[in-house]
Amino acid sequence: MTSSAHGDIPEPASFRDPSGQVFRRDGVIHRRVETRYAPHYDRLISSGLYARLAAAGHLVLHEEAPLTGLDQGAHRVLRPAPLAFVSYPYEWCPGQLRAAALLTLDVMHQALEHGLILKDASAFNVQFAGSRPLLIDTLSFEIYEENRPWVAYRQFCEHFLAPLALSCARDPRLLSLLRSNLEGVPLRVASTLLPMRSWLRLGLLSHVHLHGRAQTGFSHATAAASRATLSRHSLLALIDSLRRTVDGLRRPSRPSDWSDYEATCTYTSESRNQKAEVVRRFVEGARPKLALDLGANLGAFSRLATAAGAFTVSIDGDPTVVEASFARATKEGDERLLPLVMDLANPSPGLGWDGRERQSLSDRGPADVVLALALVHHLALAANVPLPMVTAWLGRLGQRAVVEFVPKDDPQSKRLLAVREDVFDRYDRPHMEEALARHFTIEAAVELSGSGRVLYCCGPRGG
Amino acid sequence: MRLPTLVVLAGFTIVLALVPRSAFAYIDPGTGSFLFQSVVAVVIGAGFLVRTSWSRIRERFKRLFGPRRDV
Repeated sequence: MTSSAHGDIPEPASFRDPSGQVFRRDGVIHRRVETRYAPHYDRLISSGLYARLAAAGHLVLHEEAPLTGLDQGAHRVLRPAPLAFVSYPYEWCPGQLRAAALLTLDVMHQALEHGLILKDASAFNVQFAGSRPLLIDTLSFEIYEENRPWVAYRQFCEHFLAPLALSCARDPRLLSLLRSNLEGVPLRVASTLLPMRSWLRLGLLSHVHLHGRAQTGFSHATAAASRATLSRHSLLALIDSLRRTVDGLRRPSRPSDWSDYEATCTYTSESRNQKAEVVRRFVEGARPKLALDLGANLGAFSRLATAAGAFTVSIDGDPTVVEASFARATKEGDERLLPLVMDLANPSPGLGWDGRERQSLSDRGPADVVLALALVHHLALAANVPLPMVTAWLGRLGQRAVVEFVPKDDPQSKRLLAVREDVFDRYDRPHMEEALARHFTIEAAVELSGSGRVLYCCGPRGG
Repeated sequence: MRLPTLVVLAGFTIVLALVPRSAFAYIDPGTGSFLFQSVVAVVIGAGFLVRTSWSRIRERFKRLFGPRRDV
């Protein structure tokens, strides 16, 4: 393919779409529009749909790049606005998946008004500019053919509806099913896992339970399926039904182990203020574009990084606190804070074809700044990760870091060690400093008054 | 129970009867989804139509049988 020649590097996530591949040219993201897709792309622009969606912040902005000798046979080459950070649906809380689902349906509805439809309804086509969901697949529109069924109906149900229903009716942690099912949660699996009462909800009855059965029940009826029709009215009704079903999937907020952490953590207000001041000064001095806050809870320290101008990915393992953080960011219209769910002892790996379609957390770095506050003792004392391995990982994730060391005699460490043998004879300040110095330059070590805890402000190694 | 709900429930009883119980060994989920949505959307579409026009129908009945205000 021409676009992969002479230094153009294809993006490993975009090989499936024959409409046009995404690639990097001189490090900048570009996307080819193939001639076969030209009528659809031209309609997207000429119908005014692109302008409308882009102005509303629903679709990624792009500019048309001048065609070069490398672009032979291409209809256009687009240069989409770059994203600060790419996240994946298995890293979202239910509220984020719901927002992405509603955006997809809203875009589909607007597309129909302009004589187009969405040919894909993949959750991976949605990214977050902070709290704002954004469709990034400019080539997922197709000219609407009257009476043709919606080709992305099943994909929408498997990518959005099934995992959302499971997370609301059963447990928010079930969104992690999307990590093992990149094509969406199979409807028969969702139907088996959902409670009996979900059969009484018309939306779930039709789009998950019956739909799942129809997939196997009608699978032989290829001739009938090729003749199947769906009027515009029925399509609008289908979209309306999906929207009402998604909108109705809300989980009553229940407290989790971590939801009252900020109130119950063992800091005095003095040491907490001191900690915030150290972090604030560090991020203001580093002027990061991208920051990662690991073990962020409700994101109090992440917000210090966003205040310093950074796009901040605020990661926590507990979906309940991530949900609360996302709700707050949405309410405030925050476009720089992205809360994500991830077990940091088992961070997102590379997934998909050849393990490269979806990037691991460390492949999406390095960030300019990493905050690892009240985190290392969990990795070292609860997950048994030796300190040199923790700092090596932090070194891959960020250029600079603020790392908090929580000594063994701290009440929180004692809790972790309460019912197990202390096998951690290398868990102390000298070993922490030695491990950090392998990957960073320790610029300052600040003892937090009255707590025995230490904040290490770290710059780049050799910097 | 409201009329739109009744329409949709009645429709689903028919859909349930239509979904074949036996599954063939060769599975092509896209085919099933294509056919299913054209069936299910008719039912949902009926409910949608009744729902969107229900308020208009109710208004008309109110005007027919309600107290006359233009006297």
